[in-house]
Amino acid sequence: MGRISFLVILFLSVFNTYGFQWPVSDVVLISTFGGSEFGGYVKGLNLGGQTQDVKAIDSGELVYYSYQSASPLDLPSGLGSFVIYQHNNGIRSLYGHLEDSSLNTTKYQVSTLDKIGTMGFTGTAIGAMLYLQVIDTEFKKYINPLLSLPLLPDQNKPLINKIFLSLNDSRLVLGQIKSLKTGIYELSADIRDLSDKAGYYCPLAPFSISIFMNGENLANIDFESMKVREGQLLLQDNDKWSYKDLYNGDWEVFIGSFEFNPGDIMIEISVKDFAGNESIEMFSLKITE
Amino acid sequence: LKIIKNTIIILLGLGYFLIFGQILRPEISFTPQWINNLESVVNDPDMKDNNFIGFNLNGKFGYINNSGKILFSDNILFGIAIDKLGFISYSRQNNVLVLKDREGMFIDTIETAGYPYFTDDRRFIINYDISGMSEIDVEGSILWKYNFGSSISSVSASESLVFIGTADGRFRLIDLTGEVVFSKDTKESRINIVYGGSISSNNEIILTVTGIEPQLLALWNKSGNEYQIDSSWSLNSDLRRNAVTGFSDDNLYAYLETDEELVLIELKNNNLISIPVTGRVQHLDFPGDSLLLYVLGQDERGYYMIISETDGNVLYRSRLSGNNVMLNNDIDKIILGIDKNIIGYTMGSM
Repeated sequence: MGRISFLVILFLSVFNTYGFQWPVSDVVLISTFGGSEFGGYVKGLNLGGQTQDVKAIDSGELVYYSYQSASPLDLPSGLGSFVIYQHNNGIRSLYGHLEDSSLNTTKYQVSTLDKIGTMGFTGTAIGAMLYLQVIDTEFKKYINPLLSLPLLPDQNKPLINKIFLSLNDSRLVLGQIKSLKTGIYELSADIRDLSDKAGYYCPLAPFSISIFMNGENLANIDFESMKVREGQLLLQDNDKWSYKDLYNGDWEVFIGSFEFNPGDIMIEISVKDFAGNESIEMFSLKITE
Repeated sequence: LKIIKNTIIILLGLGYFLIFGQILRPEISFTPQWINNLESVVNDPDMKDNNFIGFNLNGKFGYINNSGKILFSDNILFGIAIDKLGFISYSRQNNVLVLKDREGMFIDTIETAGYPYFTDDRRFIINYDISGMSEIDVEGSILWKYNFGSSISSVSASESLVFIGTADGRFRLIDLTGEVVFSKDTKESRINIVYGGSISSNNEIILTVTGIEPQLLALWNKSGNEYQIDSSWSLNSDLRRNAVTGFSDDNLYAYLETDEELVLIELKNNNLISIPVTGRVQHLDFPGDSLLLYVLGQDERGYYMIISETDGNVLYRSRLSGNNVMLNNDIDKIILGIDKNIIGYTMGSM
């Protein structure tokens, strides 16, 4: 299921079905959808690099703008000065960290050629930055912007740094052990995507993680969308994967709890990035009573 | 003849005052009582006065009383959230916020990422991406957290509820435990979005400003556990930003800031009263009926102050010089801060 979903997404992005454009000409990714930032999920993309003009990802209508410190009565915002545009089919896009003086808040209708601002230092930005968020208002969910933007060329595979198995207080590193006692183990992994388009020292979130045991698909984590349920933000729109459920640290993701029964088992972890690069790690273990 | 002449003069005089007396209103005069230069301020933690207000001016913040004495002051790091009991001075990025009391003494650290927002005697932390928030108590303990599926556009609180409007057109009321007790999707406009909203201090009325084409101002009255629209108006405005809204302290009026006016709503008869404003409202004090409304605004020409009666009659409108200006009249004086100086005035009529 995860693989089919991935192929559909890949198809959508390769052929750029949404027809959206990148908001800047020189794309440098700092963090991507589903990554960990400030103790929560990144709900969009953070772009860095040099200061550049920003254009809307599609033609649309300005529906909201906020200047950093326009009034002490306004809410404080880590996005600094930001704008929100409404596009067709209930899609909205948000652009944060714009330079204060660059906002064009008098022109409500914009085309893909219009400059809507300049990457700036506002809000939490400590360099010239742009935060891009895409929301589907009909289904009330955040969409991974990489789904709607032209595919970025990238030859780098994701890095599966370490895979951990935890039982009670003990924590083992897969690859360093050959056998285990039977039990229900928590499996987690340190995973980072290394992209050609990422900034220096900026590993990114992967696009999907799958785990197989003896060829059977046990779990998939897809970084496609997020939805809020009862005040809790969940990855991939189901009851799993709140931020606290998924992340044990900035890069260590919890994949699931699995029962290991006596016998020989083969564990396979597959991690894909958005460009389709895949890393696979396989481990064989002998499980004893 | 002399008697007749005097009588005519008296009658003319009386007639003049009878005819024009309603038009001529007393002019407002300000008498400066003290001035405090923030560059040479000395903190005085031994003061026993409880009548302090927080100030935020020209990169400095602190507490000052109605005699102009400074209890505490410091430089603002990046931003400041301050109320009568304490403050959080925060940097551009934090994973930990530090809550201090009004003497600058440490109270607690709060492990959260976001900017603090103190309003209506409540304390909130707004997530950096403004799509979630939490509330803390006076000791700095987190009471609840909530994520929204969209950017928060307005927050207003009573003692027991908080109104939160979001850019997806929904508004919610959350209680002290973090439970959503009322939620509504606005669907009346071509594009649905909440630009502003407030709840009255007695929880009886909600005011909302929502949507594009039409842009609607609505008053919602409490009915059991729900709120129903009591009155609504299609506004001439085309706001695409947050609108400052609120209620007078006595809950007899509501108000709304648009691009060109401050609209007062007399709630007993839903009469709309307009006070022209330009730019953005920076501060507003509105005690209520038969009292004066104080507005500090800022436009491209700089700061200005308006003092108006509740019927919309503007008694005072004047430009203020200075690049940083603050206004407060919580403590029986008008406290006006201009750049490095804070000045206390008493107000009278001539």
